[in-house]
Amino acid sequence: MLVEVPLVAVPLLHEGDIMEEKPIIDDIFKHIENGKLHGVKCICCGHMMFPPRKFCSHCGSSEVKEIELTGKGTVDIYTVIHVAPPFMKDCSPYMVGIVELDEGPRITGRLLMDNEEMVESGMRVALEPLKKSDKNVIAFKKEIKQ
Amino acid sequence: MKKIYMIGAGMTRFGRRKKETGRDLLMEAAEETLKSVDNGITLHEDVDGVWIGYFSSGLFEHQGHYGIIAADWLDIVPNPAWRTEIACASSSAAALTGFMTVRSGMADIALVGGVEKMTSLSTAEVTDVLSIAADDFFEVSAGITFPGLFALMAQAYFKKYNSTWEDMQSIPIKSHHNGKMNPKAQYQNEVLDMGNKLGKKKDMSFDDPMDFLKSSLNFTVAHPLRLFDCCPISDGAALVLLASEDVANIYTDTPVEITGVGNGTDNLSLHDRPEITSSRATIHASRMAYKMAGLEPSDIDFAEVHDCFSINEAIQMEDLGLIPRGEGIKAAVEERTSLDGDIPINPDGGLKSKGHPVGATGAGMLYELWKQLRGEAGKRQLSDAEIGLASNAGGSSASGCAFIARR
Repeated sequence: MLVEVPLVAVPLLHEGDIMEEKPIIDDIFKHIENGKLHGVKCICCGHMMFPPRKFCSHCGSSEVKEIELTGKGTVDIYTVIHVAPPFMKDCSPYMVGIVELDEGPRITGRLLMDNEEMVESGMRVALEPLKKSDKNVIAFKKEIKQ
Repeated sequence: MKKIYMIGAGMTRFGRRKKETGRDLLMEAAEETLKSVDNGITLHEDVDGVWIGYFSSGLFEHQGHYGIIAADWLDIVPNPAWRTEIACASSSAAALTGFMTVRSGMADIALVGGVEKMTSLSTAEVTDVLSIAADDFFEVSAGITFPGLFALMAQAYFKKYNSTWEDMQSIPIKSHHNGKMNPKAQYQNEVLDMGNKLGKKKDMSFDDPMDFLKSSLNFTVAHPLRLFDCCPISDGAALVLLASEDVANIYTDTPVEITGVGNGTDNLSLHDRPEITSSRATIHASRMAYKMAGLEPSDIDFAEVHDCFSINEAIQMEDLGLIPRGEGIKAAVEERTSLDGDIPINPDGGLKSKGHPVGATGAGMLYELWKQLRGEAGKRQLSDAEIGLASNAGGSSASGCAFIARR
């Protein structure tokens, strides 16, 4: 018996694109430990995301592909934390900011400058591997132009 | 659709309640709730269900299952009871659950509210516990705290609207002025009085609140927010009785009608949101409530808003449509939000002065609507208050609830 298949718009896929295993949160931090930032790109609309979501935060598609991001971006806003939670007490005061990555996603990270005067909105930063209490932490240092 | 009324409400004093457990606080709020019902009520016969919000009692005091504790200790067993949780808006979620249950016809009377016992931990530990309302992997692990998230909002707000930390101080100064007239507030003192009290130990005295606020005593928590930009750590509980129109008049001749409710969400992480200086959760929740009530923001006589940090009072007023974008701080400077202003905000002192036992805060806001709309708010009573709005936020305003009530 012939089964009628409804005609729906299916985006063209390269073989294997969506068959790959999607990363789980543990994978993301393993990459960060190696100084790499992995995100996903939506195959349907091209939207770039970090962290790697399972569904596109722009068009809702589940067809996303893991990609490596440059880890470079620009500081948007930042704050200096003086009253720290117990696991960060030994670092206080320290700086945390929202960085806009060159590929688009925005990300919260430690800003590893020596003091507040060395941070400003609009400054260029790059991902820097950092461990705190055996946990991998998202952190940035000033970008060194090569 | 059935109309829903508040027929009673009770609240503990908020603050450091060293000896009491969360359960003691819930029972204290229940006693006042019982007394507040004009014609009396028998809880174990009349209440069809109990919904209790709390955020983190498991970590604060090693006790969960508070919905059932309330049902058990108030003798409402075997009727339904459960916990609701959306961080600092957990008791608003309880009120929403009660509202929906009564409106659906599954109950005539719902007991709703919340509790939080926070002062059993140190400030650093409380900071750590509260941070679980943010994204643990992609915000908290980088060392951000709740004061830190709202500090980022303040930085973005100051940049966008060219306003200043100095102007923002009108907000906590107003909150403490109102809280002075609220016998249930954690702090019942003007900012200047509190500054001089703190200064005494260090041989410092101040003639003007700004001198204190700019001093080293008002230390930085997360730049640009200082101590007096942050609400305190508090213990407390609050409860409200909701009844359907079929039975409300049995219990009181002066009920307070809840004419609109709403809830909304935004991205969990602040960095993912399209706007840092606005919450889609607050906007969505309030628009749902306005639509249900058939009202516009201009119809609101006064509002209870979620001033967990001073910047958020400005953002909330703007998201609720009570004040134009970018003018929240200006409105406080011009005293438009004071008790005798055109849109009084937080007549009870707000989270800043009244206190913020997170899981009880939403019900505490409804308690103030109940008091103001029945003309029972004492020294802080607003004249001609007919329609009030409560806006309660969860986390960094990733969730939000709104209620509109009228007498």
